[in-house]
Amino acid sequence: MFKNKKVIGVIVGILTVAFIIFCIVQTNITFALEDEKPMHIGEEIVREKYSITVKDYEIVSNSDMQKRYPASKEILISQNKDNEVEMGDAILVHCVMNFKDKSKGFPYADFNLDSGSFRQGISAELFALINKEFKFSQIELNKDYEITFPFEIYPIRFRLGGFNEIKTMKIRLVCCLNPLIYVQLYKE
Amino acid sequence: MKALMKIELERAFKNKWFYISVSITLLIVLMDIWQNVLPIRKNMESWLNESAYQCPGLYMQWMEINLRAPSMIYHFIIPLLAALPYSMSIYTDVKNHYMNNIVTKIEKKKYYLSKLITQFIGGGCIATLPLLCSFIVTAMLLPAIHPVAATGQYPLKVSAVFGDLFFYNPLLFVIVLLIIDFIGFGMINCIAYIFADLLDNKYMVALSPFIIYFLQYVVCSLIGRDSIRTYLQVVHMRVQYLGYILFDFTVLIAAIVIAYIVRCKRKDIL
Repeated sequence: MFKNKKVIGVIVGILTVAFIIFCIVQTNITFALEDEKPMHIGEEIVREKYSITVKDYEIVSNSDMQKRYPASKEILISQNKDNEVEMGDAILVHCVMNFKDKSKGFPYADFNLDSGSFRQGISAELFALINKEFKFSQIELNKDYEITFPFEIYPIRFRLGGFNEIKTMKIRLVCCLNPLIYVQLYKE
Repeated sequence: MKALMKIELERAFKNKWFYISVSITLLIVLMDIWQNVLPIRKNMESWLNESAYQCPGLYMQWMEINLRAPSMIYHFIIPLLAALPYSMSIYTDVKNHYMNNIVTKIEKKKYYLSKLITQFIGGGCIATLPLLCSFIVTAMLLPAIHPVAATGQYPLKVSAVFGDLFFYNPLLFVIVLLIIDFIGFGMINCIAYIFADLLDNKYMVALSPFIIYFLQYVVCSLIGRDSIRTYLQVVHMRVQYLGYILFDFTVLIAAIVIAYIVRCKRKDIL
């Protein structure tokens, strides 16, 4: 009788595992997303309201940013919870954009940098400072515009707390979350 | 020793308090699934068409990542639930002279070691079993979408110890999380082993892990550092507090080892 119980137990166990696996597979098939689209520098990404081609990117230290854009001194500065001042560096992504529709405004929120757990959105203040000539309300549709996306970076917040850590990171510019479309800024 | 381990593990796992503890933890898991996971499953079609946000999948909604109310409740009471099944047995074994029978057949230090190991395993199992069940059920209901940091929808930041691991290999992160919680809560459960000698009430012995755990949380909150409760929610384990984590667990291990040595050397059983 004990052997029967053991056999029944094994059968129930196998059936349970099979059911779990079936549900997991079925869920992932039913709610499958489109494949992610990795792009490279120089490749055009076409979205519904605009297209974008990343030309180049650079990591610029705080001192270099101040030389190029003196007003950035007021922007690339932050206070942490211990009231210590942190000086920021910047990642500048140079691209060409072409707009087909400007009814929803400039799509700042579409563009984010990420690398592992690191994430940063466009700095609106730096954007206005660097792209002084670019006035979104006055742009013409279907015309190429050279734009620089600036991202503020505070190295002290990284694990090793150093500027050099940023240079070794495999950073990508994410342009769309669903489907996932991103530009690999690093060289493989 | 093997036979003794088998007996002690049966005592730990085949008793009503084990079933009560597991039932309560599974109830918390069910609460999370009912309140948070099922509504998302019902509205999944609308999420699939959304391009500005990542579809909320398994690795976003699992209770150990999202840390909603059920997860907070779980992390608050798990040391109490983990201690209930077995913690009182060390105290009662001495009081009822059960130990006297055992040590006639086996060395005292092997007996105490088997108690300690069982305490550790029992605590670890009760802590991780509901998390594993939660992960499996969530995986059955939500797709395993690879997390993307750019979404900003995940609580792991660049300062998290396992932040990069989560975004590169989320399944491995889950395995690491379960192992850390098993070891962490197993060791916290061993606090009862220390206090079995110091206290004169079996219920206080069972409560001791929870009291120390909660007390440490209150003290750490007052002095502005992360506590064991915070960093056993592995998503909140930060690199700058690694030193404190090592310190806390070194102190705990030292206390457990000292308690074991003191017990073994004591001439209390003729």
